[in-house]
Amino acid sequence: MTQTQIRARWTLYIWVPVMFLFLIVFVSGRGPEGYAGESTRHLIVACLFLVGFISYLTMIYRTRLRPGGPVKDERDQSIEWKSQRIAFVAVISFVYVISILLWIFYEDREFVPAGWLWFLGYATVFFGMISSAVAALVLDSGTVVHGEG
Amino acid sequence: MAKAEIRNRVRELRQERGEMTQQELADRCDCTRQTIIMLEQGRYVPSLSLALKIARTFEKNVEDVFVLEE
Repeated sequence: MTQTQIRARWTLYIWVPVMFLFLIVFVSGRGPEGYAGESTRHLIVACLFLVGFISYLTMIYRTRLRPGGPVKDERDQSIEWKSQRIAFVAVISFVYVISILLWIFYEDREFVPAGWLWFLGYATVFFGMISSAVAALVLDSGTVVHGEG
Repeated sequence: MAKAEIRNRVRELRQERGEMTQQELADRCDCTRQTIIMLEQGRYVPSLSLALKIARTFEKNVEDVFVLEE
């Protein structure tokens, strides 16, 4: 497997469970509306995020290019660029959709609970990581890719 | 604007060379075996530099390896 494939898979193995655990913590207890005022849930989510990030950085280090390690060429580079562009558009769309949904849901109350801002912050990171990895795997598996340069 | 299709004769030329494996070709051209596999399946269009390296490996001109179909 190439470095791009290995990293995309490990990105999913790391961030998908972290995202699900985050969602469970976020909706538990007093739910999203009470999240901003609950330090225990803040701490749990921060720890989850830290574990995810440390795992991710460790994975990046362990899959670095080195003799006898993963390989990478122009096709992988091309796939990475394209997947990052796709992830960029996906993240923008995600933030837009969530913002509009929050506006629709809380329009009558004229304020949005601060807990949702935490959700938007964390979820944007998870969504960016996951969408980039999924795009890389899809592009790698079957789509016609054009080399650049 | 319709994108031109680029066909290649990489598999055919590799087989003409007898025992040249995908890995050997990949090693000679500084790319991965996955790239050669995708190239042969028509799912990857190489950059100009890789196309030139492949053509040089087969001792052919680029046009003899890659064919533009409009």
